[in-house]
Amino acid sequence: MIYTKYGILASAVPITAPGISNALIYTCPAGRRARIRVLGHFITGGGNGLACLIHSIAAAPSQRERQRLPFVGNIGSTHVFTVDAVITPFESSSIPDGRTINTTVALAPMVFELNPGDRIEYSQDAVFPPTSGKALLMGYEYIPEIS
Amino acid sequence: MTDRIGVLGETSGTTVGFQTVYACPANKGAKGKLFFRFTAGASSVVNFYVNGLLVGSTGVMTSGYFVFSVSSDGVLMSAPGATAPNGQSITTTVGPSGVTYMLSAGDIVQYEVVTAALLAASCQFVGTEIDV
Repeated sequence: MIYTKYGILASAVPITAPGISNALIYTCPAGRRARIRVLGHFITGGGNGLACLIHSIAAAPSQRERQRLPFVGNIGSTHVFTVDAVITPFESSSIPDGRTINTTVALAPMVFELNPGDRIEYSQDAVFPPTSGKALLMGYEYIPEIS
Repeated sequence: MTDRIGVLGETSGTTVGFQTVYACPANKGAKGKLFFRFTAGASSVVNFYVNGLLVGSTGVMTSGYFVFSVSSDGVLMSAPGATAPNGQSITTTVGPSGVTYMLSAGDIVQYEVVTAALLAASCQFVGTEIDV
């Protein structure tokens, strides 16, 4: 496989503007494909509800959403982070201590498979937006083999 | 082509502040794990960062306590304790952690020592580095 990019392909940080916000963080270039997983850790603003969302949108057909990774905070919890064990990010009132699978920030199992023109966006609901943190998109971009 | 496999970066920094374990060079991509053993000073805290993202924190430790990476899937490290790792079980053996990170040129892996210097430290980033 011929890699054209490898490692952290993009990153996302909270948006300070009020309202529902979206930010384009990655677009798969023409002639390439990409496989991406997310390493994320956000500090929520409190409350109970969606803090933010990493999702992929297919270029065709119809700009349809294909996959989503929601970071959801619950009352009393402040940290929402990806873990190795389950697709849905884990929430906790404590700083992840790295001692168990549910308290270690790790790449989420979900793999975003992207074709040319497909994109990944960061979205958040400003009612309970994260106050800090980030998500790193780790993976690779490659030239597909001709068969 | 100068791909590498093994220890990609290391440090033994014990002082309060950020210590860089590995920085991915230009025109490279890397995949690897943290591999470390620390001995705490009085109330030392160690925070681990991948390109500025906090992936784990030891919490406040007692002077002389040991904390180290363990090779358990999805887990970064042991709980700090007074007993040195004896290699008799997966939780008492220092091994590359069970969490893999991928990095591109300019990306860094660091730890931050907070409150008090460590009595001892050894931290490596082990894995593979390829041309991109």
